[in-house]
Amino acid sequence: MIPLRSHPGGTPLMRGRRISASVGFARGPDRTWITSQFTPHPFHITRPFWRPGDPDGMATLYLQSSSGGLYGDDDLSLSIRVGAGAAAHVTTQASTVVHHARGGETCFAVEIDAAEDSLVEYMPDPAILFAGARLDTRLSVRLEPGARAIFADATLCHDPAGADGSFASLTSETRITGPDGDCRLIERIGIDGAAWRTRVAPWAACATVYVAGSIDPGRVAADVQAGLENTTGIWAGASAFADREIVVVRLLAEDGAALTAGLAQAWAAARTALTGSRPGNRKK
Amino acid sequence: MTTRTAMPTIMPIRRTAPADRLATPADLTSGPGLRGVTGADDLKALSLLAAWFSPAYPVGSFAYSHGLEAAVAKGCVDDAGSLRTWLANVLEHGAGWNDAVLMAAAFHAPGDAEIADLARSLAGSAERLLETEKLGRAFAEVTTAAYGQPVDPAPFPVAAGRAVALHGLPLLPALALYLQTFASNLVTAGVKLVPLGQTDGQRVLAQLLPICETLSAKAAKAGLDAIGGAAIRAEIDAMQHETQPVRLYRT
Repeated sequence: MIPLRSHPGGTPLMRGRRISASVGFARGPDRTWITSQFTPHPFHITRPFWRPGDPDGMATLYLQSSSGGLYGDDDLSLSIRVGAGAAAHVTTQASTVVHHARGGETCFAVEIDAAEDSLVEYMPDPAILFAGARLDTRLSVRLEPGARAIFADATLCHDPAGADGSFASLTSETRITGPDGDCRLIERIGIDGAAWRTRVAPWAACATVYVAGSIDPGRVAADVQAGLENTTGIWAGASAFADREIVVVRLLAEDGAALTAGLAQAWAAARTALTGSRPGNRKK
Repeated sequence: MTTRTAMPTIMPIRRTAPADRLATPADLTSGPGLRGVTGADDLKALSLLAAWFSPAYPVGSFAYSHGLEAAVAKGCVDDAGSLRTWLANVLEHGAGWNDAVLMAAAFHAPGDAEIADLARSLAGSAERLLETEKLGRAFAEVTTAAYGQPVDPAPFPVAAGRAVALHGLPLLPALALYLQTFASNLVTAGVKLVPLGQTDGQRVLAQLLPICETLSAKAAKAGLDAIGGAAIRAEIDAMQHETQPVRLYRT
């Protein structure tokens, strides 16, 4: 166990052994395939699926956890590489529970490399922060020329004891870089449970969806905003940064169901704007 | 349209003691104090600050609503009370506080280019970035042309802080006037958009002035580590404004 850094309160935080997983996708003659994988416990993946109506040859992969969630000594990282011309949709089987940290800090980092002319969708279900959870997440997306990406970061909180307890802290960083390693966006969030209650309430959940790469930001933002107009239980806005080909979509939701619906609508609208085809409903 | 119209909760408003609004704290680091303004230099400083942060100063502030237009369009702001709540939230937990800290930082280090970069990075949406950069550029150009000392274009609070430092003006009243002008411009926008009567608008502004005082006093002594906030709902309002079909304001 390696003491890493102190929580602002002064208590040293402990992290467990770093567990790294990786999945690689590549375009074959007719579709995208998984060409490499290393998924040690607690990571687990299914076989890929190819769904009718998806962009040509897009592989869908469900990530699962064999440990029942994330814990206070987890230091996990996942690398997703999508090869030139390939298309991959990566999601989770269900929401990830982040348990009470018990003196530690849960760390989860995802690194996505999108090669030339690839299409990557990373749309995990929201993380559920239980009372006492302390989560630090990093999401890094690198886009080669012609690559496009839709990805999300979503959080809601819950106290399984029914005592209305708060999570301890949530810190996150999202980073988007271009072909030359030029940094196009860095977004950092840091909030504790008490502040979450006062600043997010009466909403219960918050999420951000990013659309980046070789896109028309103004059109994507308009389409996503229009797609979210009739979604009940959410408050959402989409902002287009034309100079760096990025759209940021921010959502507040009144509960987990509304958050899931909002994310699905944002993703569907973005996919439609990028590819011309709307995704079908996906069962989980 | 079926989205919720409930407003986010805000921190309780902290009211200052009923003192001279231009009083400075004992530890103000530079500039003349303005308690009981009597000196010619004090009066000159106050006059200059009042001119710079007047609604009549030609920076184009009338064209920006900070996302308020979207909030009104969605029905979230529809009377004086909801306008006051929305503005208080933005002042205390959004751009109001961050701008005040940035302005103070730029005052203390006018040559530090990273403060301008930080100001840009704190803009949570494309329109918010446009607003602070356009206002800052206009402020820099007018102030340079009219008052001689060159002020480089920068996000508004940074350009303002630099100008205050360059002219040897006091920080605290500058902060207070900057925030007051910010609030006043948005009250004016609210009066037009909701719409409200002029007197109701002034009642809203009167309720916001103590917040401006408190924030300016805190920001004058705060470092950049104090930057932060979460006016998430208002930020989303600014995002929604980008795709609003009918817009009177640029932001």
